[in-house]
Amino acid sequence: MPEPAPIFQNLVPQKQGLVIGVADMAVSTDPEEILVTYALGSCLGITLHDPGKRIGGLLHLMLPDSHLHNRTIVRPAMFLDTGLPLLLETMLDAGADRHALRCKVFGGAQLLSSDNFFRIGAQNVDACYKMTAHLGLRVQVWEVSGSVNRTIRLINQSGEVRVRVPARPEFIR
Amino acid sequence: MSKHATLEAVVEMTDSIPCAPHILPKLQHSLLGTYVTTQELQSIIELDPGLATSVLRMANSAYFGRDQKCESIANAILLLGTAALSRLTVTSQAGNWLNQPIKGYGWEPGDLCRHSLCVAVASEILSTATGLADPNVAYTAGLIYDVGKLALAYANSEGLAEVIKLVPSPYPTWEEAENAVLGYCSTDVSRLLLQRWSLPHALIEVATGYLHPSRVAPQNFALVTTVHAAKSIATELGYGIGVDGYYFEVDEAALAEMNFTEESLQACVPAIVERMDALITPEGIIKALS
Repeated sequence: MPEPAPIFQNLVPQKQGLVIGVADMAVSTDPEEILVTYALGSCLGITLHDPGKRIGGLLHLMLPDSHLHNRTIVRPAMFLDTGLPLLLETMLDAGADRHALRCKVFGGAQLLSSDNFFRIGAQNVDACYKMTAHLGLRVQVWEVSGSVNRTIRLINQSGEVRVRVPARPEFIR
Repeated sequence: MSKHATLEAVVEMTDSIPCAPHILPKLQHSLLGTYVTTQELQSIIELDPGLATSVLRMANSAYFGRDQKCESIANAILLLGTAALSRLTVTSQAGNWLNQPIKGYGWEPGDLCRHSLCVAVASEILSTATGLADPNVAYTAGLIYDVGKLALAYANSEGLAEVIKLVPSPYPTWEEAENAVLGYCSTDVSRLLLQRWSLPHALIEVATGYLHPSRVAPQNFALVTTVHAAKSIATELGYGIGVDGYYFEVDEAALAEMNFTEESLQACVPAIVERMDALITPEGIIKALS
């Protein structure tokens, strides 16, 4: 089924919010909180939100598979296969209802015409389709791929995600 | 004929590249301190493309009359000494480019600095891993490789506003669109600026040829290809990418000739991110200067 068209608005962020860096994640039970992460590039920003309890979580991961790297020197949030289960577990520990969770996926940008190099964006998106299915997460939004750098803000009050890209108006997904 | 500023006019308008305003108090505090090590100075200068360019430019100027060009920040600091560096920071403070919004590439404040820093870090890590280039020279090359873009954004933002409309169609790359609209591109600006400043040939070759390493001379092929790979990784990671960021082609032939593989490049990504994590906050502010 095709994704609904983004709603374009000129939005001014009300506050900076809780900033999540590369290869990091956070969960907030504060309904007034805004979770933000900058410049996803080929990385993925995955949000989980329980609309009834106003609990939100955001993960900024870099790579799909931790098994290809030395796991002793890196953080779980660096990889999809370790980061997304950890985000889900933290959400449930914070009191979120697993069956109410809404998942949205952003990022996974791609370099031009590269057949053999720099395919992290596509690999992340492919792996995320499998991982979210494996974890039984319903993904409401796939705002992924393309040649664009995305900054996202999860509004805990509503579950909306505000998306900023260079030289374009902010929009809501 | 293009109604936009000519290449020569852009170079004339942007003859000096000031550093970011927030870097100067920290640097001058270090220079005025009772004792400051070369490493401390280096750690500050290496965070800013504008200041790094100025330091290299002065170290390679005719005033010092050396036969051999100075290719790294560390050597430049040793050559110049703290008195000359102090004068240079005062000069840099007069510049105000980065106090103003920079249009044309869709940059947020500090974006080019963050991106250049990531390219520098990635160039150094790749060089260390492969042995293809001197890591210090690779870091310096990565830090200043795109000064032409900063100059162009300052001097010809109206022309870049037209470039945006032509990418990715009808022109798939930003370089092609710049050439079509302006009659030149940012690497031409970089080349002329770095030549005018008498920087080492290797650094000029990186700034001129990083988009197409297969076309550069054999003696600098490894260094240029390393920076090309580093730029591609920094772009994937998203640090400081504007509207132009993804519209360049990966030179797969050059990467393959230098025995880079997708796996070997991906293996360096966690180390690059951890280094960047140590240098900038999640908000993108340089930690050493906050």
